[in-house]
Amino acid sequence: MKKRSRSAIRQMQPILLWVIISLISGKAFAQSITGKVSNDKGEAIPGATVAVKGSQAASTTNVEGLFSINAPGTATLVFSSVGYLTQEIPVGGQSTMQVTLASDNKNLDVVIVTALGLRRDVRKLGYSTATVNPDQLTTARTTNLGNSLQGKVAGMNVSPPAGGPGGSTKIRIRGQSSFGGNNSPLIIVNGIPINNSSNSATKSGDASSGNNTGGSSDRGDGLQSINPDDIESMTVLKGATGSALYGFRAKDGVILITTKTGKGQKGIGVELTSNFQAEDALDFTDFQYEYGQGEFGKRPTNTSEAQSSGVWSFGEKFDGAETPQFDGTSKPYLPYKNRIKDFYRTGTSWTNSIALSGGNDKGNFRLAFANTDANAIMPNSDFRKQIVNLGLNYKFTEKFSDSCPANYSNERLNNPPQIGLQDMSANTTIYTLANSIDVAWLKAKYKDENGNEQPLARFTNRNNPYWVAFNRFERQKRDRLFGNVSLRYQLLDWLYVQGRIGQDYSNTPYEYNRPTGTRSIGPAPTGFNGYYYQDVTAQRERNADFLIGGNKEFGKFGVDLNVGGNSLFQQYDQNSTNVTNFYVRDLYTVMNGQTKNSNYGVGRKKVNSLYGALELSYNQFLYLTLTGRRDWFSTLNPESNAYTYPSASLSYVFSENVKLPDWFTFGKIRAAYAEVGSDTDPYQTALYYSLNGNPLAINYNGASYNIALGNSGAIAPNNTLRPSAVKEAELGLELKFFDSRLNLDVAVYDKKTNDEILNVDVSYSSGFNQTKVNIGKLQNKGFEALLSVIPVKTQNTNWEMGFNASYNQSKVLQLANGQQRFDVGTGEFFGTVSHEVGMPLASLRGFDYARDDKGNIITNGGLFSQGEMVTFGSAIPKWTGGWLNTVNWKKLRIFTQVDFKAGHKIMSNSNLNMLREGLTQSSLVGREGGVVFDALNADGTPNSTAVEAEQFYSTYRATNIATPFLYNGSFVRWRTLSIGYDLSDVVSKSFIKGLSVSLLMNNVLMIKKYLDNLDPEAQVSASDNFQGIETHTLPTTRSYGINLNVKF
Amino acid sequence: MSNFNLTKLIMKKIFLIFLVACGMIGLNSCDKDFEQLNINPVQPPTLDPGFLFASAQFYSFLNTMNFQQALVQQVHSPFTGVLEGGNHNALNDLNSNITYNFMFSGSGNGNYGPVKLLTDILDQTAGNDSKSNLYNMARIWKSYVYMVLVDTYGDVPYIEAGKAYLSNTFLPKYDDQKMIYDSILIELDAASKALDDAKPIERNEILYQGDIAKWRKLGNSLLLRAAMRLSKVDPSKAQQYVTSAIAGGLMETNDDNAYVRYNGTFNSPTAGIFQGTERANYYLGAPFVEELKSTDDPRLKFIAVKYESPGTSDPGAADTDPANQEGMPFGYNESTIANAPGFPGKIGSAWAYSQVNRSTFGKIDAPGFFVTYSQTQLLLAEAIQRSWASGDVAAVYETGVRAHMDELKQVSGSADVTVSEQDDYMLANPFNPATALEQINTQYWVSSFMNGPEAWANFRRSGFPALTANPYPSADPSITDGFVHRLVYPDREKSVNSTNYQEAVARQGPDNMATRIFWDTP
Repeated sequence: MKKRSRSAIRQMQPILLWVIISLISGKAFAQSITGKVSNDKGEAIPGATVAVKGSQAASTTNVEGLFSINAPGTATLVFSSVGYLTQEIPVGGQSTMQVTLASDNKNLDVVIVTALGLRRDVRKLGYSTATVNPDQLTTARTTNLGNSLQGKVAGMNVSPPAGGPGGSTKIRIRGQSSFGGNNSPLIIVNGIPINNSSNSATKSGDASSGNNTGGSSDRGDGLQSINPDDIESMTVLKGATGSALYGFRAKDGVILITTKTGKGQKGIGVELTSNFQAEDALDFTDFQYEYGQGEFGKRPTNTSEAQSSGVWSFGEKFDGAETPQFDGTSKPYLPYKNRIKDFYRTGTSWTNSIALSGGNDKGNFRLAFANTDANAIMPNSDFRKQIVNLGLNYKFTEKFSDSCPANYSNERLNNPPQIGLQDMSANTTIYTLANSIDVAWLKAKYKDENGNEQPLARFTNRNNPYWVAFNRFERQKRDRLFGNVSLRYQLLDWLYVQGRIGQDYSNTPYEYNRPTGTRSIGPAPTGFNGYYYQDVTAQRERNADFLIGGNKEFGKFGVDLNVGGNSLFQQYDQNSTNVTNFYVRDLYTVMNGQTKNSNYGVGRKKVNSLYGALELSYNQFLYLTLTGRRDWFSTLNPESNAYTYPSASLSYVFSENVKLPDWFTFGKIRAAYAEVGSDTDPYQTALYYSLNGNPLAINYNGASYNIALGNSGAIAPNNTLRPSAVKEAELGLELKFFDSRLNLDVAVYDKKTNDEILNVDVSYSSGFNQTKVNIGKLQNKGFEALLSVIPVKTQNTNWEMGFNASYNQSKVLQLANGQQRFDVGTGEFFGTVSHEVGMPLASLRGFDYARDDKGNIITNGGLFSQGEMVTFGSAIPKWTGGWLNTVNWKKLRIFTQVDFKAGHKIMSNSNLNMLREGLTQSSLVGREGGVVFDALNADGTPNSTAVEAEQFYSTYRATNIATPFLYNGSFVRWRTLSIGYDLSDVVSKSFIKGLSVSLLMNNVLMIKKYLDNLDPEAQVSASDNFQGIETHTLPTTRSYGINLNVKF
Repeated sequence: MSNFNLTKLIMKKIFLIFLVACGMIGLNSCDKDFEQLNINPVQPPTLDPGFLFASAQFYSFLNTMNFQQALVQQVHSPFTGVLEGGNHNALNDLNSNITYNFMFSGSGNGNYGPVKLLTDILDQTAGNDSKSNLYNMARIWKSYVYMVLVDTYGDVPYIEAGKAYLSNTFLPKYDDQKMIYDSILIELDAASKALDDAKPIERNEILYQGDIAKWRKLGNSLLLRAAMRLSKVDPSKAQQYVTSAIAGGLMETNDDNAYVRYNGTFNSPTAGIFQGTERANYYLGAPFVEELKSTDDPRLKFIAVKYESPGTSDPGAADTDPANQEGMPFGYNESTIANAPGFPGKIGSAWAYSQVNRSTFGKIDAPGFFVTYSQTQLLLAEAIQRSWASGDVAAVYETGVRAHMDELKQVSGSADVTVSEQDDYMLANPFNPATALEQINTQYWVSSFMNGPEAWANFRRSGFPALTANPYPSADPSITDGFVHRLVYPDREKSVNSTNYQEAVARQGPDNMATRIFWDTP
């Protein structure tokens, strides 16, 4: 005992010292053992684990079943592989070993990380989970981690960032659980939640002051601070039961990420990965190239007309004649067909990472650094990030251990493009530019001799895209550190106690300008016009928790109990200032602005929680899990601020209980029910006043006065709010056949959301715009299926195929105040996203043509007019899914993915603009002699009046009619192809242990889509309040890349 | 050995208890902070109602260029789409909801809704003797706001309005427009009388620094305005309140004018129209320019302009020669305007018609007038003409006309209509008792330039000036006489406050642009 405590003290030396020692001592006493692992049929078992018993040292077999490991001659090696019985063989001085593993149909244990970081055997779980293979995240790499999840998990709907690298990915699990805009899953990294809020893409700014530039770019989310190379495992808890232990944070499911710790690495390992990708914009436009720039059938006849009609192609037939241009020259009147390729550059992305890992039987570490340099396809827009990830764990004694994972990131986003709106958006101008203007001319002259924006169109807010790219700036930097310290003590064989404290802190300076000389801005009263905004946001989320857990077996019964508590503290601070009227031109600083507005915003909240999970098992085939959590909220009325979230799940592994044929490997039925919820923001229960940052300075009777302007909020507060409740029931079935060569996992669920806390519209005449209430009920029902097949499994070849599909049907059951519907978002040009009782969520609404009683469109003077506002359908896909194939043939590895979404609608604001400005093929109708619209006159006779084409098509804008711009949003896309080759053998004689190279392509082919001229995935993505309303975003891209992985 | 185990066990227990205790202590101590934690540390839960009053005044001046100014044919944009509305007698919720949204909750205007703020102020100051002047000023101002609302829409929520916070009334009932006007008359009369020099003066207000005498004149001038609205529909009540207003004391000089003084920080809401994105898209209406031009009105040169480069932020040379001015005729849109008789052609993306001068009424800090001495004198002239007051109608008329000419100096220091120019004008356009109402109200129309709600209300009430109906071919089918008589309720109100909306429509007539306000009789 004494001896042991002394050694314990020795081991308590600073961790750094231990790292150094293990660096030096790593390979001591070891001898090299090589061999082959095969099954009872003599076939090689690739990927089998070969471990040295009693130490952390381990290796795996290659595709030929060959392994190599360093171990003392006295050691015992442990051979294991999924589906085989584990075997222990003493080395006994051998240097080569031939090992045969017997297959074990029963032993299909796959241990995954579940809620609170508890590791559980998948077979016991009574609810649906999915794991994502980290290899698939690193091969088909994207700049934002979330984007790589597309099509990989049944029931998970992933939308890519619309703003290029650095943008946010929208992830929705089992539909949209609330009426609000944010239904993102909770992200847990190493057991502790991190902030995944998106800084993005809501229309804001004050149009009346001419400063409506702000906030319409996508500035990214929390998930992008994680480097996929650092991920050891990723589990998705899809239903409420899986996430029930997260209580009020669990309504949208949970993504659990565990980062690497260097486990299994004997001595020091070094791993280098390098990835280079190039991406090009995809051009889906199918424009007309018969008529050129001009309006009302006339081409420009002088410079000023050219400067008026730069976004119209209602001119004359192309004839190559010299025609005045906006830049003061004359150019041949000819079409230019490559606007997309000409304007958007080739984007590039370089990611290099290095990871050092090491360990011994006391602990291990991994330290990784990754650098990403991404240049967007938008000129002058880029994103850079550096990520340092540390994984550390150490056993102080056999029973007392700690782990300390940490992730630091430094992210710099430069000029993310404005999307989804008209003003200061290069995309809008490029997609609506007259077809006889060469993009190169725009670049050559985007400003005039005075440095002001060069006029291009009578719409002053259709900016020259290069003016936007080069003179506008928007910069965000984020320093972020998250991680936790966890201590665990094994009190008894069956009882442990654990304490953890974790924090996610970020500091984010942000700034943007609206350049002096922008055409749409009025002159400054004094000084130079323009606008500059700057803010600094600090966000902190701190979680402290404890967990006590034990498990005991009593004969055929097993009991596993975990109880714990969590204290959450969230804080948000933002200092912002905007200025106008600059003293010095083109100097965008707060000091240089003559008129200043400052603001300080703050938010603090706490939630305290106690929870417990009880798992009961019987005879290895019946498992019952009960959980409960109680949350106390600072944001609610103290009189009623505590709520309880229960769950129950049952799983029955009938293949253990019932005699089944041999080919029936495994069967399980599961059922689960849970109640979870979500809370609200701070300071919603009382009314607060504010004062305008600037006084109104007036002269009255020869004296000056400063008048204070006070105000109260726009949302009437509510002191009786309850947290919302999501109740979800699910049933599932897992089947495995033919030695797990054919596997099926299906789930059906019914999820009801009650009492969601939301701002609902009240009459403006009540003095307020909205009030915060517990609103209505909604439902999501659906099923998910994952079919995985291994069609070929031979010594040389392994082909794994996965097909996942999910169907989700949402329905609004009830709204507050007996309302029939309420609107959540409005398109820049037309269209509304509404939630409507009896309909699916996110109804797209817009005006239809005026029609007669029989539904015929009626015209007046040849022109249609605005009819009723109608609901066209839901913006949320009913079907999502993917088909993934991985083929290993000798040293070649091919991965490919096709995915799809279906059953939803898109309202295309871009197609409206491209029609009314004469660009689309459909605008050719009626160019000569006018459009005779196929409709009836008011008296029921067929319309025969011709209307001049531009006037006809621009009436769509005037009347806001949405009907012709409504599309089926479905698509099938060949998402990814990657081909890798393992070159380890080639270099095996050198100090390099492993080398592999892979080539990849993302967005290989659009197999099917319905939206004209555009990619249905090119949409403002982050918020659910604008979904389905397509408006001039960045085009999607096809990327090509190469990955290099080297292990030392 | 057993000792060691025991020690170990105790150590374990202590560790366990310690950890649990830490957790529990953490939780308990937090609970106590909860109430404190949910109080916003950077925003006050109460505020001096005087601060709210200044906002209620400031945000009562609206940019109504797309409807009201176009309906009185003073300002015109040929465009369909987002600029459409009064220019084509067309429905466009985007532009017709401004008065409703801005006046009630201030949605789209910084949420500084005058009705919201005034309801709060009246609630906070009622019965508070030390705040009685603020209370009465708020009553006067609320009456101004409600005149604009009723004149625009007819029935609107009044009794239950503005009370979402005070009484959780989220969907207020609409009140009968006549009842609201009755209340306005009583409120203006009573509040003007109740103002008291001896009580604390409210300095934080934007019109007169709390000057009680001036406020009383404003209250009475507004009372005269409200009373005159009833000239056709209820002459005896009109006369009763005209008498009361005159007895209380009306505005006496341009110094009494009630207007917002905008500046480089707080810009006029119309500045965005004349200086910003849409600067090439707004013109003066032909009837307005024609009226001023045909009478050699010295004001024309300060109002109308033709710029060398209307589409740019720096428009170049300004031609203000009255002889060269021509307003844009009504009845056309952006594609058909080229067919208008005497079409003057284009200048770049703009047309060669006269625009609002960007250094006077189109200035970034052009003042926003609510009630003026000129308007008050002209209303008084009409009251005299109708024998509801005594006085020399010609003299009062002339004072009213000259007052507006002088008032231009409040718009821009350079807009100086000299006395001799005024004399020439009065000489050339003498008052004629036979056409008194037409002359008075035509002058009221000129005098209310850029004060859209008032110009439109007085035009509908008086029928002057005798404008020609807008001949735009695809006007809204509800319009029968070529003129818009009211604006429709916001689309949002139809779905959000549906029951009360339906009730109001059932009471006052169809929710279209033809239904007349109660004082607007043919």
